Amino acid sequence: MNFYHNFFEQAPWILRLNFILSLCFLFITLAMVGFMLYLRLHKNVRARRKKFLDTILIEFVNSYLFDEDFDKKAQTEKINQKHLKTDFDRKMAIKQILMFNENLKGESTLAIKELFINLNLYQLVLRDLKNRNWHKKARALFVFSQLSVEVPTKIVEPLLNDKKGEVRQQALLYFLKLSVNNPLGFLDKIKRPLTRWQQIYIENGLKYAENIVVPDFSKWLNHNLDSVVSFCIRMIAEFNQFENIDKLMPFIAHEKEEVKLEAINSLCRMEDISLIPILISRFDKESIAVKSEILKVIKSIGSYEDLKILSNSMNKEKWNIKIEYHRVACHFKPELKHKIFSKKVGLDKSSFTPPLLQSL
Amino acid sequence: MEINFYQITEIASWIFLAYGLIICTGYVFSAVFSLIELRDYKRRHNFQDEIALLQSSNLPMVSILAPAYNEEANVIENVKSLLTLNYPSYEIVIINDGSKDGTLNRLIETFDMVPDELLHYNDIPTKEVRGIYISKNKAYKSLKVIDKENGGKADALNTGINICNHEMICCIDVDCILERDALLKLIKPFLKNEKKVIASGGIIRVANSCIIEDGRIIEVKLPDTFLARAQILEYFRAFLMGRMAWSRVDGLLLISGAFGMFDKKVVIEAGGYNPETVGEDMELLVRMRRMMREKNVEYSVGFVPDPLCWTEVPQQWNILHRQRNRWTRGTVETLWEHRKMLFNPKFKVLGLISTPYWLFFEWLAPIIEFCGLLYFFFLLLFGQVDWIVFAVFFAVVYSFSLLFSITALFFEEFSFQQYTKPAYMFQLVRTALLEPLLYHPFVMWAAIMGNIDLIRGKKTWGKMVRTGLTNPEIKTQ
Repeated sequence: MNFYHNFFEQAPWILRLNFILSLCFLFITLAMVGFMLYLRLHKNVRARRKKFLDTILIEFVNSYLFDEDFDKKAQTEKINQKHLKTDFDRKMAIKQILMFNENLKGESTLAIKELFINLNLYQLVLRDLKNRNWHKKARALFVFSQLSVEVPTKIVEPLLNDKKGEVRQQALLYFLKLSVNNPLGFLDKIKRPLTRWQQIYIENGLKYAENIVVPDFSKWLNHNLDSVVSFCIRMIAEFNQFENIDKLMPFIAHEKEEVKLEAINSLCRMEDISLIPILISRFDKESIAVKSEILKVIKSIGSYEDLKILSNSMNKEKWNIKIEYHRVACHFKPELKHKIFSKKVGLDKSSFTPPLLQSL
Repeated sequence: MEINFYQITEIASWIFLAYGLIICTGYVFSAVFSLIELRDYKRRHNFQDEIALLQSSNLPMVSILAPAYNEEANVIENVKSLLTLNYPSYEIVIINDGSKDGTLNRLIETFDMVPDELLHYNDIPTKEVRGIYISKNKAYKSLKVIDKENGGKADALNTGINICNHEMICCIDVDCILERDALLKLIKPFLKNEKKVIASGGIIRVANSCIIEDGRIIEVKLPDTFLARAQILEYFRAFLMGRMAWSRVDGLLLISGAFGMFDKKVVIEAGGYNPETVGEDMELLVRMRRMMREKNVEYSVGFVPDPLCWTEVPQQWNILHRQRNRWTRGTVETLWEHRKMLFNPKFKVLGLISTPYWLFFEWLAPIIEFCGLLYFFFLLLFGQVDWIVFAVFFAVVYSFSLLFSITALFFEEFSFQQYTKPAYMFQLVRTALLEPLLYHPFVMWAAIMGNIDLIRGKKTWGKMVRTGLTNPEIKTQ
C-alpha cells in the first residue's frame, strides 16, 4: 500500500500514466475474455432456443397449412402469445415461414402469406423497412419479396436508388417479383448503374420466379445507363428474342466497347450469320478486344472462307491477334495445322513456344 | 547548447514513447475499422443463400494458376481437390517450374495428359516453356499443365497468365487447401462493385493439425506446437484486424500470394509479377494500384473475410526465420521500388496512409524495436536502468500487445468461430500470454536479419521445408 502511495505521489506523470494504462489494458483484456465466454454462452442459449422454436413452429405451420380440423385462429393467437415474445422469436418464425414458402407452391403459398399476417409479422417487417439501418431495410425487402407481400410503393420506390447496394438490390428484386406484368418496370426509375451481381439476380428472378411475364428487353436498349443497355442486350440472347435482332445490329457500332462486345456476343449466340460480313468490314478499325471477339464469332458461326478474308489485315496486326487468327484457322483446318504454323511462324519465331517450332 | 548524457537518454525515451503511442493509436483505429467492416459483412450475408445464385452461367470464367516446384508427393491430391471446386466454369493451370522430382510425370500419368500445340502470345516475358499438356480424359478437360524452365514463383505465374484462357485469374499456392466455394466468394467483389475491381483477396487460415480428407478440411483443430499457435494469433491479427481495416478504407497493399484473384487484363497491363523481387505478391498489387491511379481510373480492391484458404505454417524456428526474413526483404524491395508513392497526395489513401504505414510500422517497427532493446542494454551497461521505470514501461507494452491479440481472438469469435471447442479458446489465450515474450522477439530478429541480408544483396527465397498437410514430405523452393 505504501509503495503505491509513494509511487503515485513521487513518480513522474508519464510513469503514472503508463501504470494506469497498463491496468486499463489488462482490465479490457479480461473484459474481452469474459465477453468471449459470454458470446459463446449466448450463442449456445440462442441455438437451444432456436431448436426449440423450430420444432414448435414446424409443427404449427404444418398443421396450419394441411390440417383441416386445425383451429387456425385460436392456435395462431396461442403461439403468438406463448412463444413469439421477443424479436428473436419472431425472426425465427419469419425464417420458418420463408422456408415453407420456398418449398411450397400454389394455394399453400397464399395460406403462408395469410399466416405471416396473422402472426403480426407484417407489422414487424414493415417497421424494419422504415428503420434507418440499411441491413434491416434490406432484410425486410427480402422478406416481402420472397412472400410476395405488397407494401406501399411510396416506401419502396425511393429505395431503388438507395446509397447502399444491398438495399437497392433487394428493392429491384421486390419490384421484379411483385410486378408480374411489368417485372422490369423499375429499370425506368433507377439512376445508378446495375452491377453484374444485380444483373445475375434479375436474370435469375426472370428465369425462375413463378408467373412472371418475360418482357421485351428492346424497350430499354436506349436507356441512359450503359449497364442497363448491356444487360438487356444479353437478355435478348438469353431469352431468344430473335425478333429483336435488327434492333441489336446498330449496337455493334456503339461508342462504348463494353456495349459493342455485348451486342456482338449476343448476336453470335443467336447465330445471326448476317453479322459476319458486317464485322469483317469493320475489323480494321476496331480495338484489340473487339477484334478478338470478331475472331471468336467467325470460329463459332463463320467459316474458313470468312476467316481468309481477314488474312490481308493480319500482316499489320499485333501478335496476340495474329495468334488468335491462327487458332481459329487451326479450328477450321486441323489437318493443315503444321502448314499453318510453319507459314505463320516464319514471321517471328521467337514469339512462339518451342512445341510449335518442333512441329515445323 | 550542450546536451548531457541524461538529456540524451530522456530524448531517446520520449522518441520511443512517441513511436509506441503512434503505433498503438494505429492499432486501435485498425481494430475499430475492422469491427465495422466485419459487422457489415455479416449483415450483408445473414439472410439469403447466395451460393446457389452464384452458380449462374453468367459468372466470369476463372483460370486458377498454381505454380508447382518439387511437389511430387502432394500434387495429385491437391489437383484433385481443385477439380472439385464449386464454380460453374473454371480451368486449372498447373505450372511445373522446372521441378527436379517427378512432379510433371506424376501429373501426366495420373491425368492421362498429352502435349498440346497451343499457340500463345507472351504478353509478359518469361523463361522458356518446354511444353503444354492437356488431358485426353474428358473428366479432366479443365486441367492444363505447363512445363517450363525453373524461374521462380513469379515467373511461373507469369507463364500461367500468358497461357491461360480466361479473363479472371486466381493465383494460389498448389499446396493450399481451398474451401469448396472459395472461388464463388472471391469473385463477389468483382461483381458487386460499381467501380472496376482489379483484385480481391481472402483470409488465409492455418491448416496445421487440422483433419483433412480428400483435400478438404474436415475438422478444424488447434496445432499442438506453440509456434503454430502463435502464428494463428498472428494471422488473426493480420487478416481479421489489419487487412479488414485496410479494406474498409480501400488501402490494401497486399493480397496474399497463397490465394488472390486478379483481373488478367490489368495484370498484363501492369507487366505481371516481378521475378526480381521476393515479395512478388505485394509488389504486383502495389504496381497495379499505382498504374490505375496514374491513369486516373476509378477502381477498387476487394477483400473477403470468410475463411477460404488453408495453408501450412512453419513449425520449426529456422524455417519461420527464413520465411520472415524473406517477407521483410519483399516489403523493403516493394517500398523502394514504389517510393514515389510515399507521402504523395496524388495516390490518396495509398500515398498518405498505406505506404507510410508500411514504411514506419511494418518495415521500421522491428528496427526501432531492436534499437530500443540495444538502448536498454546500453543503459543497463552504464547502470542507468531505473527498474521501476522499466517495469512500468514493460507492463504497458506487454499489456497492450496482449490486448491486441485478445482483440483479434475476439474478432474471430465474433465472426467465424472456426475453433469451436472452448478448450481451444483458452489455449489461444495462453498462447497470447506467452507470444510477446517468446515468439515476437524471434520474429523481430528474423526481420532484422532480413534487412541485413537485403543490404548484402541476397535475392533467394531460401529453402522452405514443410511437413505436409496430407503426407509428411519435404519440399524445397
